[in-house]
Amino acid sequence: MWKTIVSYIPDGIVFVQALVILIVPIIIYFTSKWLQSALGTRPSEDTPTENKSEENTPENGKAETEATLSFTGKYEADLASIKKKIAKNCDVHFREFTMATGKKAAIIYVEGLYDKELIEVQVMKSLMFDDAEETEKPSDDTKKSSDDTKITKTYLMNKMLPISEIREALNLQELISDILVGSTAMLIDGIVEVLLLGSATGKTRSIEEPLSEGLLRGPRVGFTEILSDNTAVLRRHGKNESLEMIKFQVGTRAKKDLVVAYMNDIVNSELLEEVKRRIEAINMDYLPESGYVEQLIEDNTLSPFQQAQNTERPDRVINSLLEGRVAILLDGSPFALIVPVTFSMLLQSPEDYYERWIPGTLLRMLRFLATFFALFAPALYISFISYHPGLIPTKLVMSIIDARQGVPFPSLIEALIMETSIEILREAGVRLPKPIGPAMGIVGGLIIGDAAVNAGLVSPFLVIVVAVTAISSFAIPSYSAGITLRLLRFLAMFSAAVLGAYGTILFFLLLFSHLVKLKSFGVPYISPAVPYRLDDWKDFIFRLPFKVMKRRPLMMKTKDSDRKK
Amino acid sequence: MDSMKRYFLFALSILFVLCLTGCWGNREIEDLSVNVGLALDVGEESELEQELAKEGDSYPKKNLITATLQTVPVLKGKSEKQSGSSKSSPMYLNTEETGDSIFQLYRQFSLRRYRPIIGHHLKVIVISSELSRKMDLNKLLKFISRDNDIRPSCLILISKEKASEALISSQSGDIPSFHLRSMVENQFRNNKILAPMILTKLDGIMNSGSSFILQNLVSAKGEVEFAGAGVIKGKINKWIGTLNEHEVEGLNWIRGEIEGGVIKTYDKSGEVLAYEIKSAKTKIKTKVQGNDISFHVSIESDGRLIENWDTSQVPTDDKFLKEAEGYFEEELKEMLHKTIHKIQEVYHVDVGGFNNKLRIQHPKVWKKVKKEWDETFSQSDITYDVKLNITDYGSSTK
Amino acid sequence: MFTRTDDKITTAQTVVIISCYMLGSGVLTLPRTLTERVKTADGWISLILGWLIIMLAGICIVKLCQQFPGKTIYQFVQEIVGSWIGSCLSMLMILYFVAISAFQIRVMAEVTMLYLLESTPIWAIVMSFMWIGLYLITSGINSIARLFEIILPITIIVLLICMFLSSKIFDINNVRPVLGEGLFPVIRGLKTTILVFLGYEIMIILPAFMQHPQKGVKALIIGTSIPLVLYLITFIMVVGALSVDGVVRSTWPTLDLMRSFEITGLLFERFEFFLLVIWIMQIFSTFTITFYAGSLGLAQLFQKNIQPIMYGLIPIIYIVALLPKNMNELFDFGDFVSSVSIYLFGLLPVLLLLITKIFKKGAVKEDG
Repeated sequence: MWKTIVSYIPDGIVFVQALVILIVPIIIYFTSKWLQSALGTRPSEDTPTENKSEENTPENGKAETEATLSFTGKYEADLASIKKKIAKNCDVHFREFTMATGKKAAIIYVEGLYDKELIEVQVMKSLMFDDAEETEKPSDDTKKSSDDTKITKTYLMNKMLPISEIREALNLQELISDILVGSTAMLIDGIVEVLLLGSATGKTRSIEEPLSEGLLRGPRVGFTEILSDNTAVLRRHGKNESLEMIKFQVGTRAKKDLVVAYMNDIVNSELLEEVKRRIEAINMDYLPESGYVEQLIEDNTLSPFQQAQNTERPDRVINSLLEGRVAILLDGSPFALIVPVTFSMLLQSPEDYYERWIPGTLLRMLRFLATFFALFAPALYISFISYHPGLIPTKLVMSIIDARQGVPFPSLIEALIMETSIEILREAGVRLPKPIGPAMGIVGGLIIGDAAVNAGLVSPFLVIVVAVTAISSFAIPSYSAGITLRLLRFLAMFSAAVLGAYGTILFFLLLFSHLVKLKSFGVPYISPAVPYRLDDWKDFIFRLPFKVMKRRPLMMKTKDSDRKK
Repeated sequence: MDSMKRYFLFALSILFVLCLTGCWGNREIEDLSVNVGLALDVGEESELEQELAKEGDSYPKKNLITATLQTVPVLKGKSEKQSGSSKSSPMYLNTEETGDSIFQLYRQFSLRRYRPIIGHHLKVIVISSELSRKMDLNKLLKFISRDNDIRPSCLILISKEKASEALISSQSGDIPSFHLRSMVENQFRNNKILAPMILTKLDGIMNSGSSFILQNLVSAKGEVEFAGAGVIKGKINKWIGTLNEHEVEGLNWIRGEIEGGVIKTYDKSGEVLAYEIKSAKTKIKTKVQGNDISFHVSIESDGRLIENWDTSQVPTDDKFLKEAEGYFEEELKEMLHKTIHKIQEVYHVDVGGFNNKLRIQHPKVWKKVKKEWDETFSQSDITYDVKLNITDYGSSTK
Repeated sequence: MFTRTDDKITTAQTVVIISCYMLGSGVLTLPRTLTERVKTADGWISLILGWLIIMLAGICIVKLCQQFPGKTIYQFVQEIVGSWIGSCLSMLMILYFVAISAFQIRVMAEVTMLYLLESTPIWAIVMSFMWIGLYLITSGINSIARLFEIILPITIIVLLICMFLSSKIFDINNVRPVLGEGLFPVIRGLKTTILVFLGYEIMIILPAFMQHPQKGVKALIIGTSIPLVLYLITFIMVVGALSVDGVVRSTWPTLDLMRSFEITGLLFERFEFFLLVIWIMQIFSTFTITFYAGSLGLAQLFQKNIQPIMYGLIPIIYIVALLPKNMNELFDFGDFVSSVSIYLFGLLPVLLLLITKIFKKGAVKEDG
């Protein structure tokens, strides 16, 4: 009895292995925890205090007290204080003149940003000439109240300045920041407030077709760098009172406008609150592109997958809003973010909806297939060539053996050579000027590929595999998702090189284990595939006719789930 | 920060260790040679082997079996590849090894060739009738069915002469194993070919102890032909004789495995008449009365009159068609009679699938007679009727 | 945080979990184990009968759990039979789950080593597998359910395609006659089929996580019938192709079936790879859910945080998995563990249910 028990006690090495099995995940756990906390720029409690501490630095404090001082109303003094602040800048101009009434006035603007026509025709003209004929009326008004200056301000705004965009600056700080982003300030002797006229009209790009998301059929409109243009494009989608856009200011040093757009009677209010909360918690001195926002509000920093969809297409944004998602637009970036995102969205293109449903469905299936190839084709090649010759058809085995004669590398190295060079080519193609780009592609793809085969570096089969992979990865509509897949492809290749097809299966399981864990703003990343919701499947791999798609995605938990009234 | 760095380094080193220990079972495909065919003969050392043995290649063994392994591809140099296939060097390589354990023979192979062989693509196993007369097939095939590389989809054939000759082809560019493999698929053109016997099926049959037949091969001048079948008696699993092509055809009719082919006969004036089989159906009815077991085979077939040399007769004539049907039926009956006679009287084995019919139709009776079935079968009555319908006469009425 | 109500598992997810758990190593061995006992081709009838028995046992478990809404068996068994016996029973169940997960891993490793990675050491195969399993289960039953929902459709589709392709060598005569030797052989096969259908016992913890626990019985019925259908198809196709005598000779008959034909002209000639893929995935699902059930049991029994327990269980499962010395011992080990389950999850729930009913324990609404 004892002997049999003893015989079952495993070797010491088994215990060592068991220990390794235990320790490695623990290490990974702590590493990832540490990484999360180290990298996690995700909103946390200490953000507000940090903000405060920055503002309370001594110099700032001094400036603040000075700035918060409201204007005196004395022309010379105010002008001097403004000049002291910004006259150093070569592009800030001060134009002083005398109004028709004899009061001194000044216009302060930034060259290239101010609305020249507006200021010259509507403002200066009316102040310098038209004033005289209207003196009778203001004199009536002035009698009503003793406060001379105030009436003049309202009078100015009501009667003299025929422009829509007019505000008043209350303190120096605000004034200066507004001047610097393109508003024109008007300082009039005897009026305490400084008026801000118009807004920036710097040179902007016209609305063009988006470069990163080409479509054959669909609107040829893309976002531009100007936030107001972008919101306008969104507004123009149709008469819709429920589209709401709230403005935030982000960036601690250089403040930028950020708009959160949503349909107020569709969006889940919890989701909206969460988006707002995360945006408010952004703590960064400057956000040049919406990519910054994307990374600062995402759920999981360590995931290779993007957790917000970026798009240049307004139609895509509107469609998402109607599904109950939230769009985030940042000034200065033509890319809007859509949250929450699901994996299937990355493989969808607006064209699926514009074409009829049968071709639309076909295109979608093709994209899923392409994703599979882009991810696993080289891995399968490696595992079959290096581990499982028995799983390849016999005749193919013979021709592969023939083709691979003289290839000095194992399949992993061979595949790495080709894949890396393809990736480099691709990266080079993006940087190259447009006329050279395609030529470079041909040179790289054809000549290098062919030469590598002839030189016996790689086998022709691999070239086919790599080509299929590369083409497949171009079929993915979202550029960012494409990068993710390229990255994961290399991981798949390594796992295949270590454990063959088994490793590939494990990689698949690992990938999906990660995907099912991942959430984008509380929505499982892998939805609508799982959990099973038949209603959501109508718009997943299949794109069923519109008559069938009557409801908004269930996963979004919208307020109003019916698409039809 | 220091502790973090240490963590990081540790994780990294683990990763490296994992990568280094990787690539275990890794064999690049071009370093392998693919075993596509295996021929088993009675042990007889080839000249080369004898010489090698003299030089000191010897290990304890009994020379029971000579195995011929066919491997592909034969590697050619680059220049040769470019010069094209004008050179008539064979595309395959046959290697002979003599010994007893087949597994050992396989492993001996790596003493002679640098590229290890893999068995995943084994297509055919040819066993010489002489060897199978001496040795239990079960023993011969034990390794094959147990090995994890060799797929049970490989084909088993019997060869009348030396089995290794079946793996030789006179045509350049032809790989005999593939050739044999695809020839089996010709069953729809010729009813003298048996349904392919793959290892899986053979395993089941041998385990059940019933007798069976295997496709027989004859070869001459580097040409291989399917001819008849080898009869293997159950229980002992040894070869006991052959059936000729005619009998195989008859057996195919009985087993209902006709997919196409021809019946040829002569009319009263000695002119050729040929019938192309479009469909065939066989029904076997089992009758049990006391200890007597009898079978009734009824065959029905539709077909086309494809050839008649007697040009005075036109197939549009119903009378002629009836007459022709009569000739064909007679021919078929004759064939059945000969076949049944051969298996019942000469070999005393049931290779016609009657055991299955009895098992399905009378499971209780089957259980009783299972043990001595071949003997019981030889005693039982077999009757048959045949119905052939000529449904059309192709694209010519004359 | 954007909280959502689907943090509990849906009825469909319950179905999927049960199905995935049941479809484990059995797919490959079932035709042999069953035919060895039945000795005729009637095993499929045993399958249906076995399924019915399993259903009864499963319904008992569900009914029992419904008496204690929101609690797993580890939590309420002590309420029924007292803390001492209750803890012992919980411990037994935990051991059972650990043993099952170890068994599954070992079988997976053996097959992988036989057909996919011949010279790879077993620890490499097992280790990576377990780590991924651990990665999955640390995020709880929801992620597990979602992954299973991805795996199951793939499994069903691929298995059906494989079986459909194998019809090339299917011979109806091999599965005839039906009931040629009467009902007795069918009864003989019952024990095997019950063992094959193990997996329903996950219902001892699932109702606690369900959105609608009252639909437990429905979930159980659908969840067990999916494997039933797949097993039936597999069994019939395998026996039909290999014949009764051939099946009993094959260690992994379903794999042998896939290896017995090649379809030239299709892109892939050989289909055992696909079977192995889905099979490994199914083993993964069985492993993760038993692993999770075991660690959940420990966590609830000792009222500790579940994460460290999951980490702690890994080496134990590994060592248990390596205990059997050869294939015979491995199969014996599996048989033993499965036989234990008949008592643990067949008879015990009935007893517990009786005690609950008689002494009126559990939820108040049952009393009223």
